[in-house]
Amino acid sequence: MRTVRRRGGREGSRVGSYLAAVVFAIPFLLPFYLLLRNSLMTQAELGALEWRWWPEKINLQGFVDAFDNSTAPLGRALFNSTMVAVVSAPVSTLLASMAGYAVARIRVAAARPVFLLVIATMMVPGAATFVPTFVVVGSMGGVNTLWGLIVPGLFNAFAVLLFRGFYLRFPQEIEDAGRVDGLGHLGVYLRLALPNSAGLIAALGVLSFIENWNAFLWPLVIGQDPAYWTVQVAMSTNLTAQAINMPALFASAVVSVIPLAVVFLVAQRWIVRGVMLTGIKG
Amino acid sequence: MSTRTGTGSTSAPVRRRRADRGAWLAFVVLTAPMVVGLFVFKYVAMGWGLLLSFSEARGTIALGTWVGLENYRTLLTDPRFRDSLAMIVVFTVIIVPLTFALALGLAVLVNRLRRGRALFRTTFFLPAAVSYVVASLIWKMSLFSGVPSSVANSLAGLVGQEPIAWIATVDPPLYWVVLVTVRLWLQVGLYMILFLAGIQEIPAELYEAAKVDGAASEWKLFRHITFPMLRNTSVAVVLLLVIAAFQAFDEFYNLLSTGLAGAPGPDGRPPLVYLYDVALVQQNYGVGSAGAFLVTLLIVVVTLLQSRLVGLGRRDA
Amino acid sequence: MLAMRGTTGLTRRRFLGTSLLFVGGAAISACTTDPIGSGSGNAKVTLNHWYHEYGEQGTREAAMRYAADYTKENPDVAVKVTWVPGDYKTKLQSSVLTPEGPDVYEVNEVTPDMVAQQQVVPVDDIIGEARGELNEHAVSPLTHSGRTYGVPMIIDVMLLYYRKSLLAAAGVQPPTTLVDLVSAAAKLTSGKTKGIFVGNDGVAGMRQLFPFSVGQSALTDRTVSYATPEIADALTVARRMFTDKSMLLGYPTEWYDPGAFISGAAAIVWGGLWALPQIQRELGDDFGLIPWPGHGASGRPVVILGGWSQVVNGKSQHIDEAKKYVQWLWLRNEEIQKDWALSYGFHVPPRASLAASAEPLKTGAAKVAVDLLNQYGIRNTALWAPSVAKPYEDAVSDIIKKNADALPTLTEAARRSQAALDQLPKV
Repeated sequence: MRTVRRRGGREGSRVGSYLAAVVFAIPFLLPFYLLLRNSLMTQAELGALEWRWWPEKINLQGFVDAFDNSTAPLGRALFNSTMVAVVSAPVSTLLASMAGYAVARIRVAAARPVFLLVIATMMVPGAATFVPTFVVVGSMGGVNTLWGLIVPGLFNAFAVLLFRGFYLRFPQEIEDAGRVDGLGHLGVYLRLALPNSAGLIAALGVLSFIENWNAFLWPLVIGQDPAYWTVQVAMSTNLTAQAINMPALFASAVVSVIPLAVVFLVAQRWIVRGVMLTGIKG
Repeated sequence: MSTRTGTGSTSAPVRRRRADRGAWLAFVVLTAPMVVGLFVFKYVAMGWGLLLSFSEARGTIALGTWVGLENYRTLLTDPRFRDSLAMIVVFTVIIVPLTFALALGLAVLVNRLRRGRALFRTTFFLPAAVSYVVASLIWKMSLFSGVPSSVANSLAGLVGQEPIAWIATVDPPLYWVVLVTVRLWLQVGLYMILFLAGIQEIPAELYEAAKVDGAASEWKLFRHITFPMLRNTSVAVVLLLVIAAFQAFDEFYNLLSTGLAGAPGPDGRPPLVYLYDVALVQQNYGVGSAGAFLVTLLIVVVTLLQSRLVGLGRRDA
Repeated sequence: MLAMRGTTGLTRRRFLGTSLLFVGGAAISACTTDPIGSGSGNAKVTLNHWYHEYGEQGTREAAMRYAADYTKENPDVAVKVTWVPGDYKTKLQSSVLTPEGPDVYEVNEVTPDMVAQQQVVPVDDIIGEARGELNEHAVSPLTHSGRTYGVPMIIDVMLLYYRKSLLAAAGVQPPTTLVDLVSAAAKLTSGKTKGIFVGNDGVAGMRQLFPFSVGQSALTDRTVSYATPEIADALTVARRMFTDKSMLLGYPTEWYDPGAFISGAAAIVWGGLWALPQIQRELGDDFGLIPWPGHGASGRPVVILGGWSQVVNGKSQHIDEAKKYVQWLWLRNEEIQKDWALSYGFHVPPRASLAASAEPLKTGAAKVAVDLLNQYGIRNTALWAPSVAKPYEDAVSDIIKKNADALPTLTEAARRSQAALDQLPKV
């Protein structure tokens, strides 16, 4: 992988680049600062008419309220969100990898139609299928269960698209070598293709984690007991109630973002590398 | 030098038949979970929705009274629905080039940085970790709230402007500023990463050769090397952006709704918000489903158009 | 070019192994559910009772306590209370489509579609004689063709709050006509304070008031009747509050939260009685209550009734038990009714005798509110379903915020409202 070098750039232009980067970074970081600041302010300060850079006194009551909340205990919600995201990420990525490999590398007549069938689902807005899906899951007894929460989200057509792109570029020699060793298609997949796609798997796994963590509508209608609420649902309890508890709202928002941000910071290297493996660029 | 075997194998018939059966088995095993899953949770639901769109279904999603295209007619004769279709097209036309340009620009910028590249890359990508709900919160309550204490109004105050009710002002449509910026903030990072990956694949020799030929200005290098080499990425990015834009819902719903009191007003009502109201508030699932399929149709048409345009070798906007 | 990428330490085996572990763990934890509400013990019947998440502290514990008390008296019936946060409506609408829907739940009104689809059952039998003392406006949104489908739990009163000190400082009297309100709002707008707040979008709290304020109503039986010159005129007058910039817009909280009023962001706000305790706590005596003023020759002041009512799901397996439970809660048990309405915020008990005997409502601001309620309280009937109301709401938004011509806009909207009304099942 060769990096592009901008040789011949003068020092001035390099400084210019850094300056521009910083200028752009400010509006990107601003909302995070606001989120943090808001979570430490009181209700009165949040409703005030003058701008504040930072609260007068750091107020942690919002966090206390959010975790202490008897209707929507944030701790339990965090656990649920983690469970859902941690189970969904590897499973959905694995399923997509399997299907992506099959349509990319197994020469059967059905490969293209199946691929198109999978991709077609990307064009239908989730809203179109939301209510019927809910009824389907409900009639299977999935309401208020963990499987009802997790299973419908395991089938990610976009990931199949990416995996297919990646596997299409998989070197034929490796597959041939595996064949010579006596491996069938499944064997080639399990022992050669899959391990070598770890980068993309990691990348898509992280993206799936994020998407599941941030999902709101589905967990709302599936989870009836507060025991099943995810973080986003728990957070919404502070928002549509008649008396909005803003510090608790922002505190739970901070709590909902931090785990993701951490996962992100750790894994963003993978994500970048993973994207480069899909061949989507060219 | 690798040779890809074509769809027809050139090996002896016996081996091909055995390979075919093995291939079929492997294919089925590998694709079954995804296909079955999509079938149950998408296609059954889509089929049901389609049937619903041809039925009268109020307060129920049982298929009963067939009404043919009545629901579709109801929608297409509703000026508010037509407005929402027009609105989402305008929204897409605005957000897609903006996101594209910003993502590409940031990618080029970040790529030029030597040290701290990872830091800036993370900075621009980090918003993707935030959900639309949380982002809408921040935008609605602290960035663009109508009171003088919001960021936007504090800045406006610095230039002597009165506080503006950004979200509530529909004439001129200032609420668009809020909607566009929130989506930009949330999305740009991911597409920047896509472009970055693309840029980093461009062989350095191309640039060196160009400089030897005397074309040394940054802009010329970008126009003649970088951008053309990013063609595939660009196509993919635009496609993804368009599909996402047409399905916009979360930020509209969270920014513009009045909580307990109700759904967003008639301005800033994209099709999915309109349909959400029809289906889940008015409980008219027949019309709601019809609308969803109209939107799907729109997305498919636009996507096909776009592929056609690109296929003819034209450059993207 | 062979690009053999090394693994990043994530071997296939380990990957699959950890996945299975997680799935297994998930399966196990799916089997244990925390019991909520009264224990199911040896109960033959379990009722699912849904509440939306009330903002007031202590309400959830109270709801569970009532359920537990009921089971104590009726050991055969267990009650599982579900406290629904956030978007209660969406969740409810989705659930009543499935067999997993609640047995007993609450709504603001009962639409004809709900009746046609058996999402509710008639409850005239359990209301019985109490019908006579239930506030007529609380029951009308629950009634179709003489049959009542719900039992009111609480009445919410919505009206205008005004800041005495701010009005005094500006030399403004509490307005008694719409025109006065408009000019008061303009005079009260100064510095960082705005004169009036009816919702962050400028219309939410006030749009349903206009027909009543001119002495008419949006619906007359099954005819849409809001496209009249008087209503158009009222809207045109009220619009000035928006164009004059006397309106608070885009505040961090909505009109139903007293935050804007307490912080002084607005001098006059449309609000609900539920906010009264907090306002009293923060502002002491510095506020007053008035109805929304009338307009025109036949105008009348307006106070809006809202509230929640209890209904029984027609698809429930235990309709009789559910009805008995509802009867016990909201018609027989006076302690519960008073407790629910008054201990956690201010709502008015729907039964006139209870409302009259309730201590907290006998004095001060609360009494003013209840008197205004009795004098001017009104609301739309059950035929004002969302599909019927929507064209009107959109029209009001266009008129107020985009300077649309009032009467033509209303007339066009009335056509669509009538079409929607005609499509409602006749139940």
